[in-house]
Amino acid sequence: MKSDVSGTRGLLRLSALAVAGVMVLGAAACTDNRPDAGGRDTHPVVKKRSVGPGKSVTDKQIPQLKVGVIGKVPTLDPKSNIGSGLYTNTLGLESLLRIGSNGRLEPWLATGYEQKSDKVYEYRLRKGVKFWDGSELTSDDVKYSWDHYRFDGSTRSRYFRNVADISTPDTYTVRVELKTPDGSWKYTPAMFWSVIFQKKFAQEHKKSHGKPGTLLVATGPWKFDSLNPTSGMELSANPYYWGGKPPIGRISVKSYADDNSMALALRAGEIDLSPSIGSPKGFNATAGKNSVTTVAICATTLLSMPTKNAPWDDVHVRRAVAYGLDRKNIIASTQGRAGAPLQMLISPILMRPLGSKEEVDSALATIPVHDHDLGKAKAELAKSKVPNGFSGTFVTPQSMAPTSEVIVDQLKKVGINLKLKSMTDTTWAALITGPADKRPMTIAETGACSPDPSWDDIFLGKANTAVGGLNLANYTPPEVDKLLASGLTTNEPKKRLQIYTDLLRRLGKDLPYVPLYAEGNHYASMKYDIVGYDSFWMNMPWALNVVAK
Amino acid sequence: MSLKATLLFIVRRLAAMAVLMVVLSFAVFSLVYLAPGDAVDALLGGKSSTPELVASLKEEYHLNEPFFTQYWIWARDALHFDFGASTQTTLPVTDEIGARFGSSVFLGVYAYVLTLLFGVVPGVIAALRRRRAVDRGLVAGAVVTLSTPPFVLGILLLYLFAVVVPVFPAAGKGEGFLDQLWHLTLPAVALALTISAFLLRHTRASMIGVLDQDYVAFARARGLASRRIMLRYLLRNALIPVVTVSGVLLTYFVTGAVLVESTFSLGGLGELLVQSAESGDLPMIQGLTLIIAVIIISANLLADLAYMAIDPRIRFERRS
Amino acid sequence: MNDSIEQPGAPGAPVLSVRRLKIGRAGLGGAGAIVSANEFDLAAGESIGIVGESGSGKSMTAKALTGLLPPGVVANGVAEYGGRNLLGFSEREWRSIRGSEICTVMQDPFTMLNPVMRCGHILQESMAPGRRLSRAERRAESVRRLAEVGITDESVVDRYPFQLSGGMRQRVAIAAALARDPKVLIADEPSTALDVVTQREVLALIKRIQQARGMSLILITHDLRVAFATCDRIHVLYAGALVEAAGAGAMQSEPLHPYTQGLLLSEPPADRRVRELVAIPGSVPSAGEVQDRCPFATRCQWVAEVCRDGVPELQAVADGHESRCVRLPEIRTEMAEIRARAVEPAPALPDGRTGAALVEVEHIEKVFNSGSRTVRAVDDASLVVRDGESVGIVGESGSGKTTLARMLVGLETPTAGDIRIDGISVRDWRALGDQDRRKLRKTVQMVFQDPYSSLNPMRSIGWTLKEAITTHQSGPADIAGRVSDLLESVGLHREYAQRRPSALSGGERQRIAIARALAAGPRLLICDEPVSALDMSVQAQILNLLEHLRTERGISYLFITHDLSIVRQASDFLYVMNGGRVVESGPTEAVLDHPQHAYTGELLRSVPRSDGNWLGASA
Repeated sequence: MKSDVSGTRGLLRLSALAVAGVMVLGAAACTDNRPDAGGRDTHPVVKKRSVGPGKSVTDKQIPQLKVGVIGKVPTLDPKSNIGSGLYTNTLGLESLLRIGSNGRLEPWLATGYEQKSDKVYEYRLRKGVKFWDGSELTSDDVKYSWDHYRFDGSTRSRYFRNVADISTPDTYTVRVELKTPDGSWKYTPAMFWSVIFQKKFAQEHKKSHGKPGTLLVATGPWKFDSLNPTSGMELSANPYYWGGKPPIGRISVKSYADDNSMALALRAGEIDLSPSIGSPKGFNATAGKNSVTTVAICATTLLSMPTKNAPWDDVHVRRAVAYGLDRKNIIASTQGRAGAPLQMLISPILMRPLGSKEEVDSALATIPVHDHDLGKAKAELAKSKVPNGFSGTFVTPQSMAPTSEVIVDQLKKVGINLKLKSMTDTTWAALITGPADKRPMTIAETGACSPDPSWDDIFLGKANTAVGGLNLANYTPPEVDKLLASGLTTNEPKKRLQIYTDLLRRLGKDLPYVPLYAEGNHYASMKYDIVGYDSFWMNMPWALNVVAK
Repeated sequence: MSLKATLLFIVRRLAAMAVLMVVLSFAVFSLVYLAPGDAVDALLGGKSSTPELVASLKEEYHLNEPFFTQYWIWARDALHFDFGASTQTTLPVTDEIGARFGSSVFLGVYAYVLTLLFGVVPGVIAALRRRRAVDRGLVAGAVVTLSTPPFVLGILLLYLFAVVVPVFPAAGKGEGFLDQLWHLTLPAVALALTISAFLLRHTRASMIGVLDQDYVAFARARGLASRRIMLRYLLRNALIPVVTVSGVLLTYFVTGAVLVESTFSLGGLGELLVQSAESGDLPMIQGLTLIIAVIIISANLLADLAYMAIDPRIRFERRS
Repeated sequence: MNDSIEQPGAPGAPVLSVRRLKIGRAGLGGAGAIVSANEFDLAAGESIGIVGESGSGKSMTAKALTGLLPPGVVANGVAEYGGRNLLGFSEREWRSIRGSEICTVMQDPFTMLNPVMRCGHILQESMAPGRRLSRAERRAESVRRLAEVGITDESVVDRYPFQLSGGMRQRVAIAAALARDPKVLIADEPSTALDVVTQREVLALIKRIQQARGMSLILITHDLRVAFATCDRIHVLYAGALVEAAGAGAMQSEPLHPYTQGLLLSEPPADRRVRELVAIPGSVPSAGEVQDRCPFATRCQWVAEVCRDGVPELQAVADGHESRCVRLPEIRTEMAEIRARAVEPAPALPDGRTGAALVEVEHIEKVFNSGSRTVRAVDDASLVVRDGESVGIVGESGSGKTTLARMLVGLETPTAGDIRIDGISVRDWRALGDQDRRKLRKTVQMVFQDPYSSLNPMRSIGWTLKEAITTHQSGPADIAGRVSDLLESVGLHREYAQRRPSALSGGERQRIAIARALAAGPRLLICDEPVSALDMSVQAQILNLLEHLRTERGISYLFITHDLSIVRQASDFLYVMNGGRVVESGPTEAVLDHPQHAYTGELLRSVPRSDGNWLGASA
């Protein structure tokens, strides 16, 4: 779970996506218009996003938007490590599709797609899409971009490893053939790792493509005018933008070293908005009240216990832990990073698309919950092999140490004395993805999620016990593997609701992980809001959705 | 000392510097070579990868070659200021350092000048007004400043002069001389204050020592103008020990400003060093180490030359 | 120049007239007094000497006359120069006086010149501003000025002070002080920090220039003989008060204040050995302590009630001779008798050396390597010290005498040659067995020059002595008794055991240092300049004490000094060292009366003598 840009807390949040590399089968067949929040903080602006592709949600023109990001943008080339470019690349680089508010795929550079067979997808490009040099987007550019990500030392090749061939039957058609049937491909053309740039310019600047001084050419509403890897970048409205005149004339992006200095800059009026911050509470304290908007997302923070090592192999011990934890205090210790308390491994946000509100609610009601109850915790411990309590070690990444200290404190009251071992995020990442039987009791903030319930498969299954996998709890009942597989082989929402509900029930019984809270995404501004700021905000040119407060 | 002897001294020091650089580069390269993990691990950063990717990266970073060949390839490129590409950002190390070098040196020199200003001037005043209210006030102020870490001062300055009274920018380093001066003022002040508190005490003690010297009394007895005594007698002699610490100060300001760089989001060499160390960015560590060694050696050479220029005793001792 | 300053009038009329001069620390009243009563007149072309020991206020008087008193020290009274009172001058007014009217040369040539300026530059900046000269002219002027002070080597203009010897530096300083042709030169101990030979040269130079220019001179010194030889009139200052003033000749033939006489008698004469030096007991009080009485009352053998009843007036006791002693008429005859007794020569020493050799140094050498330079500090020196004998080593700084002493006690290891002490070869102390080393440590003890730094300031005197006793003797019965004995043997009361070094005067500290050396019961005491840091009136006490201890205990002494007068009093056999070599040796009297080596002769000529010929001989 190493971040793309290490050392910066805020960016860790995207790391799990990068690690997982797993995309999901299944339809997002839900028509429910609810915001994708975990129940808390449903900010009004999050709700409405009903404009067509390429359009802005507002008619109001903003001459200049000053944006702050934590960390630096070393290069624009998406195949490289773009650092904080994760937040800004999609202002200029667009993908073929976008993820709608409920995980449904919507048209963008492509007007639509067709699944020709279980391995072949065909994308119809929108006509009249122009690069910012005025030339038209063609299927060649798409093929070239995607091939660029597939080969040649690309850090994004894993998202394309199931692609057998990409061809261009005509100027406006792109045909993708997969090696094996793979439902996860479906989302790929909508994600930030499949954005499109101009083939011609890339070929002319093979060595320096995307780098400061050379930059690149793409179709987005804003074009990159300059990039300074130590201080930020400048963008201006793309005069040829296919969606019409972009609502913001210029966008200046400034890099900050940490939340605190960015908060001061916001307060001083040097920036108008930051699309992502690390520690909302501290940020608010410095920048002034209510500058931060938090939205709970589908990423989940988990307490993991090594289910094959004593005493954690005793389910009563794990239940004692689950009852012993008080989520309210744990959430308080996250300095506002947490979005909402959570009782199940798979975020309800990902379950919603699988049925109507009633259907999903009644399914989720069958899943065991473990609210804070010291009496029950002690009773469970008494039933275990270590009725008088025990001592153990609890490993935490430095970035989560305050929360981990709260957990140690809470479990002490149950009779479990944990010694907290704090390590750098890098060391910690190496340890928890090491040999499965050496993975310790730990806490993990996953940071991101895909739009499908199969997202959380990364923490489960025999396969993920291999070195590099994320089955932190080393939890491998064959029944769970079976459920995971069947969840991917069907497209039927009803069946999938049943399968994932069964999975969650099983997890609620065995408790390899204690889900702690749904994580939050946070933007900060005194002046503006970002409409449609959800789990997947940075996959599209989000500045189109910036409105005055 | 004659010009020729001075030149000889400089040439000798430069030659020693060259030898030192070779030894250092080898040491750095070996240490990094011996450290667990290789460039590919750092590049992938624990992410899953394909065997083809690993192979192509190994090829790119010459990881299949024997150690000495690797060193030779690296050293040969390094001679042309090519330290390879950062495994963290894939940009050339030279570019990454180059993008930060100018402003880091600007900040370092700026902070150094401010340190002299904030340290020497009050130090001299305190010494001249020894044991009076001004002196006590300055010394007390110095103690308070000394016990405040630069980044805390930085946050305070930021709050005061970028938020409450927004006369300076809260972050960034600017472009062009005046813009840089404007952007780097607060960071330079934050960096300078603590050190200048130290320098104030240093100058005060040194100045008091000189004030008590017979040659000052003798100069006054001969009726020399007080301005002359101040410049040629007091300052000239009192600043000798101040000049000797300049090399260390300058180096510290250029490379050791990491916390202040972070407070003001400057993106300087210090931050780069910390980041590359954290992420095991080997080419960057190697390049930075050499650059920083050059800075340290050059700054100390400059300080030594300045020392020799203002204190003839050193010049003649060297020669004999 | 400032018009308001009248040019000093007719010859004989005072240029500078000082009356009721009081100097003290501001805000402390009488207790802060540094100078309580000083006055003198200085005529054009006249030279006066202000003589006093440390704490007499002589240097502060000099500073007051150039407006250079340290912060917090103020002067009151009148110092009339050119019709105006200098003591009321502002800093700006002072600048018109300093350098061009009155200038000072200070004691230490090693610290008086700005180390980062070339000598030529120092001279040029000292010259009167206003005259525009070309570079070449300025240089020529510098060369001329250097020639006036006897430096004919033109390259000195381009050298830095640290490249010159002490004597050269003092000459450059004098040239700088004279650069604006002042009417009055104040020389504050101008020769004290120099070697004897150079000392005489510098004084002769000052005297010569003073006479050639018709300049007035105020010489400030602790050494009466130097003052007698240099000055027309002498003013003796004691604890801040002028106690006697007279023409040099008159004072020399008949000092009319008990202090002046005591000071004169405590200086060991260079030309003969006396039975015993006449020492003044006790030590110099501070001016603040003696505000209401005769300042010398605490130490005067003729003290009576009247002496403690207010400060006596300065009275004319002869033509041009003033004294502050109220009892002078009663004691004048008695004083004369004491003077007569003091000059009685001591009985001649037996010829030839007897006793077994305690220390034998044979062809010893010591070479120091510093960088590329090699310094031969001691070069083929041999000497013998016999049981019960006092041997002197005399030489200037750099003669190797101190290095020799350090080799004797194992602080340095000789490069070549051999040393035997009590039959044990101690060429290399590190190679000695424990037993030998212990024995040697008991046999040889050392007394150092600086009594201030050789005692641990944190420990009481009793502790220091106890430590010395137990180091050399395991478990003696009555340690406290032995400490008292030691203290009494060096003339101190037993209650000194309770005190700390900071509460003691310099003379008392040196006594403690001697007592500590005696604790081991040594057979040889090496005294390295044991009295040169002490006031003249105290020097005699210590020399007498050492002599007394030698007769009482039969200890051998190795007396290392630059002062020929001291070796004459304190040693039987003498080695003269120069440049690391022993150039002459023999019974002390014989060597000093009939020097064979040219260097010994030069040393002898350099010893301050009261007559004017001393300076005139050859400058």
